[in-house]
Amino acid sequence: MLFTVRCHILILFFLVLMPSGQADAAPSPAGHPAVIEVGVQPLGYPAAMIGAALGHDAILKRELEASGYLLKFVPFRKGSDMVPLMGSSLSAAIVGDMPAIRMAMQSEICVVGVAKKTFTSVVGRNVALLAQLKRKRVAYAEGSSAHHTLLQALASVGLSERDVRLVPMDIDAMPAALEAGRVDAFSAWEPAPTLALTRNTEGRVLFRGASSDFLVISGKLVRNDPQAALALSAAMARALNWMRKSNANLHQAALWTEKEGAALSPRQGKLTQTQVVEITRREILDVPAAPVIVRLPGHLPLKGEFDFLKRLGKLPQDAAYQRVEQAFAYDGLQQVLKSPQRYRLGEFEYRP
Amino acid sequence: MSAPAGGQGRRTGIRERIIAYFSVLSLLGCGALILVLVYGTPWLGIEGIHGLKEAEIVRALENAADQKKQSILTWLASRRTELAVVANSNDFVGATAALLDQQAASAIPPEDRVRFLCQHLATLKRTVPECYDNLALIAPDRKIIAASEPDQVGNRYRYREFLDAAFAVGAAEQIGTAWGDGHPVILVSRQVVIRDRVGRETGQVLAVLVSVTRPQQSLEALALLPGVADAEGNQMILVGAQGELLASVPERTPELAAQDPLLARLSRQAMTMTESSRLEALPDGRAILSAYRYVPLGVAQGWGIAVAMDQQKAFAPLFSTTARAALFGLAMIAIALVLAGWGGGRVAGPIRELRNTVLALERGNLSARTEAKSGVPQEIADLASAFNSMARRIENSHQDLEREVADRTRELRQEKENARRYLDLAGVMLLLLGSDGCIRMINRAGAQLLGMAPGEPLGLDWFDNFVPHENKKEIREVFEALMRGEQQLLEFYENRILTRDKGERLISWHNILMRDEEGNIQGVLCSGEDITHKRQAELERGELERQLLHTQKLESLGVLAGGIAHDFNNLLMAIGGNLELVRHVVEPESPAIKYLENAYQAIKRAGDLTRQMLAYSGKGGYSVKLVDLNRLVGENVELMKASLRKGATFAVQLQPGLPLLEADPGQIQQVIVNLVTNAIEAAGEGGTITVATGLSDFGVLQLAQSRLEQKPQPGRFLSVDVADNGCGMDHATRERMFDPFFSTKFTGRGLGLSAVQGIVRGHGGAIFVHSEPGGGTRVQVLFPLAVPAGESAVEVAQAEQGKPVARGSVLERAVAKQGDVTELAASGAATSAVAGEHEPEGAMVLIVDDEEMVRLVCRAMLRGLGYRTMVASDGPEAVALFREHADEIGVVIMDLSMPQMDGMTAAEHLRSIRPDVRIVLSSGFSAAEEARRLSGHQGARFIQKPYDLVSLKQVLGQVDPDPSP
Repeated sequence: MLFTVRCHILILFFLVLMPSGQADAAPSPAGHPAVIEVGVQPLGYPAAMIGAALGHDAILKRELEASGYLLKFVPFRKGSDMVPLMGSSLSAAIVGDMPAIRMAMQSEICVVGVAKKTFTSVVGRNVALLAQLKRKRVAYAEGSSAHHTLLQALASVGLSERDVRLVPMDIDAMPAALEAGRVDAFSAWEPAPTLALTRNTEGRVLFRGASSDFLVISGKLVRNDPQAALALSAAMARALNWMRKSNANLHQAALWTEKEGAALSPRQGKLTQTQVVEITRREILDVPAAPVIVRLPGHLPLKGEFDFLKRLGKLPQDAAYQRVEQAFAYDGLQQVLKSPQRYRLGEFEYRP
Repeated sequence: MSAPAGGQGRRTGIRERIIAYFSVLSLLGCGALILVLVYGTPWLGIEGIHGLKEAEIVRALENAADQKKQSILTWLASRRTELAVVANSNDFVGATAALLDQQAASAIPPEDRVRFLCQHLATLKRTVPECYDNLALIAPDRKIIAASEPDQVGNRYRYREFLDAAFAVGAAEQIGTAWGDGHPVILVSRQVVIRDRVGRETGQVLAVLVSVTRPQQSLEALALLPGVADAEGNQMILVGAQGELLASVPERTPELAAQDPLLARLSRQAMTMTESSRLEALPDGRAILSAYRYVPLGVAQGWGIAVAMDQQKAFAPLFSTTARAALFGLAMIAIALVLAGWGGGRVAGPIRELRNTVLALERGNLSARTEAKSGVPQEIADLASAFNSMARRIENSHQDLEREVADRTRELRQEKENARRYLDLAGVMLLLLGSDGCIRMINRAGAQLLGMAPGEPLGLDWFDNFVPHENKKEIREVFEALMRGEQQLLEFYENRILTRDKGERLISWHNILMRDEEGNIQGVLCSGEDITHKRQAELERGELERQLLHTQKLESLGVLAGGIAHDFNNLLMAIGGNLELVRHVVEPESPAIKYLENAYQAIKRAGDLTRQMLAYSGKGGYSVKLVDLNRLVGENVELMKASLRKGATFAVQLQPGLPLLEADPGQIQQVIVNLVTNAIEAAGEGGTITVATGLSDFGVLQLAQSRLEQKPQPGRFLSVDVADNGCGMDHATRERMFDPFFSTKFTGRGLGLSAVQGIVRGHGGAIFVHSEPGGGTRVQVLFPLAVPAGESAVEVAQAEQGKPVARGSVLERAVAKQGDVTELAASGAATSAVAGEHEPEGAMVLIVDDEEMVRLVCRAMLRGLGYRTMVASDGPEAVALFREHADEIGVVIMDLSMPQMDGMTAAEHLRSIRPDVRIVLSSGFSAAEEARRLSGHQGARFIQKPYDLVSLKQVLGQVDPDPSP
């Protein structure tokens, strides 16, 4: 125990002395460990579950430490906050569609696999049809995939942002705002929709847009230290295998997630563990082939989202989709899955 | 209270109003209630039935879609689980591994292993036969190594693209769709992987287990949607990742689906990988409510579910219910109206009776009373009692009032009659005009002035009927400004008015504005005095005064001109006489003769001038003779042709057989010359001058146009017309053309026409002038005909030969009474006599003149003619001298105008001394006046100053043919 405390103090010491902006995360010649910062979103399910599992994966930690890295998980409220940090301070992140596309536009990234296949929902109160959102107050998180979903929803019925009264708001505050009548609708990912529908019987899901979360790794890290990148890829596959293995593991991961979410947003409404488990199973664990992204003929990943953002001016007109394609060309997860024993995909060592 | 006026239309009663108000309120309330119930009021938090129904329908559609989605997921989960169980079973994996490992030695033949594997798959198919068409185990070389239908073993698997995904690294299971045998199929795969002895996956994929299912049969069996999917017009579809129609309820073939706008819309929206509910309009005009769900099948693919309902059919029950509710509401309103009508009648009945009583009272039935019946509300009974009391008081008051009104009416009628009499007594027009300009009141004098009967003008528009057209607009504007209060009242105003007989009268007005009690202008009271005659008299008096002044001015000018001419004649007499004397004493060859002749011509012209002046003043020479006017005109016109301008022509029209004119031929000639001279100058080059004579009768009206102040008596006149086609004269020039010294010519003296006027005036004639600017000028001169028209020109010839005519001029006739006129000696003798300064031996001539120069010249001239002379400077001296030498003096030349004693008086004295004394009177004035003064005296002759030697000789010869004393 004493040894453990000392180790923590030592790690803290290194963290304080470590200079910021270590995106390349290469071990320093002086022998000081480099830091691999992984951005996670404790408020979004089930990606938060994967992030929590990664954070407690002792195998990953050991493997990276053996390579001279110090692993650090940085919580964010939403993925768009991570976009400018990717490639600079962040070496990996679990982000949604829109942040992933924007990251690909501004820096070199590699998409490891899918961390969530779900819906981002527009939830309204006392509104039956999507078209009735006109002139209503709608809460949203600027630049997030939920923002994209809101724009997609409005466009599908011939409306635009100017036709509604947009209210910028944190995702975790939206259910309460809807219940209190401060807004008429909001656009958010889980668990906000489920919380709102649970609390308010007048709430209805007006629109659901399919969205995904991905584990992305900085392209520089992949080039400079492919093994570290493969370790992160293996950790993701291991985390899913671990959670698929038993409900106990899922509940453990849910507990970790709840704790990390409470640290970031104490006022966040709580889902029951059963709800968390259900969401996690539905949106990642039971998704066929997850986390592998199977390349289907004629299917261009995130092409529709890319065009949509470009059409709305959220991306520069000279933005090239090839950068997105290149990001999805990374085969780290396939390498890991080909050698499950080598990357210890069936061995689980998660510590509190 | 007043009875209902006909013009205001029929007013409704209390009962009708209660019914009307209740109807309107009921309809509005019912309509509003139905609208609120159907459509709601969001601001009041009321959600309408329509919204609720819409939400209910949407919820039903969503539930149907959710159920279908869940059933599909459950179905897929079952298939996935079944395949996973088979693919993960050790026996199955072992058999597969053994079958595929050809080098491994085994006691079990491959056929048995295949049969084993096929039995597994066939058993699974038999377990849930509706969920599988077939099952197959495919080796990495894409060949079937086992199948639920053993006959497929060994064949290449037909869905190769799906196999590529199914064999992908890490893709443990895969779901997809494909097209087979004319219908879509659902493919579900599960990788068969090798595990080590402790059960850990090695990462090696042995084969893929694939199931094939036709979706339609499975979906229908799984979850039909009672009341939604099977309702008429509703539709549910399942769409694959590529938009292919996998299943539909009611069932549609994929070929037909592409042509159906509903299916096309649902398919397109369902494959957007979104979930929503919406109200959509189809191209064929239908509106549908739809719900979409997305069924994720993997990381990058999924299916879409769409459930749609025709909006019209969906809301048909609601509309039907609404219509029934509206009908029910109307029925209830109708019943309520009947009740309201009955209740209103109960309430309004007593009031109506009271109203009828009040109306009767209002119509004059002051004895009308109402009666409160039993059952009437207390308020109505109290009201009836109060009304009866009030009616009694009104009846009493009315009777008192009628009496008082009758008295006052009688008084007013009397006062009105008195006022009318006062107005009629007034000598002026009294007129009251209303604000509209119509006559409200007019007195008798006013009506008479307008030529109408009393009261006849009432109501007529003053301006339209009695104001001249040319003044109407101006006067009406003034009147309207007065009525508007924009202009101060005109207390004194004059204007002309029209009477009924179209005559015009000039009225002088005094006006007073009439106002009501609030001070508003109601009209104007006008007092008009007819000043037509007064103004006419003033104008005539002014004209007379002007003419009088003008006459006085002309007379003064005449006196002045006469005086000047007289004095000038004396002076010219002295100058001319001396010049003539000098000319006789100077040698004929002397250069001084020429200068003397020039001076003499100047004296002649000065004499002409004084003659014009005398002619204007009426004191010109007046040697009256019988004159042949045609001859005189013809000779003078002939002489004046030399004065015509280039191209100008004369036209002479002499009326033959004209009677003789008794006139001074010299002055008549002066008239002709002056008029023709002016005509020549006015006509200019190329002009035409017409001179005509005539004889006509002229009446009073014609003679009133004469330019002379004194109009001659009507009668027959000889006329001389002189006309030209020159520039003519404007009015101002015509007015002043006869004024002395007025001339439009640069070199004119302005005495020509003045002399004409004086001459014609002196002959008792008239002058007419017709001239317009640019229209030429015509001057006609009339002379009264004194000689009967029958006297011929023979008499004229005699007269012109110096023989007196039987009825000659005044002077001639006076002189002719002496009958002993003598001829003077020839001028040649005079010439010789003048040449010597010695006293001649002839008769004695007494020269009487107050002017010494005249006396000296006359004496010299008489001596030159051979007479002896004596001189006297005034009358008394002449009388004394004549008394002393009465026998010696043969002729007396006596000036008429002398101080102390004038020539006439002196002549009387001389005749008293010797009655047969021969006297030659001389004067610088005209002969006319002197002739009158000489009338009745014998032995008198007259000689006009200035006279020359020839004239003197001639006149002496006439008075004393034998110059010897």
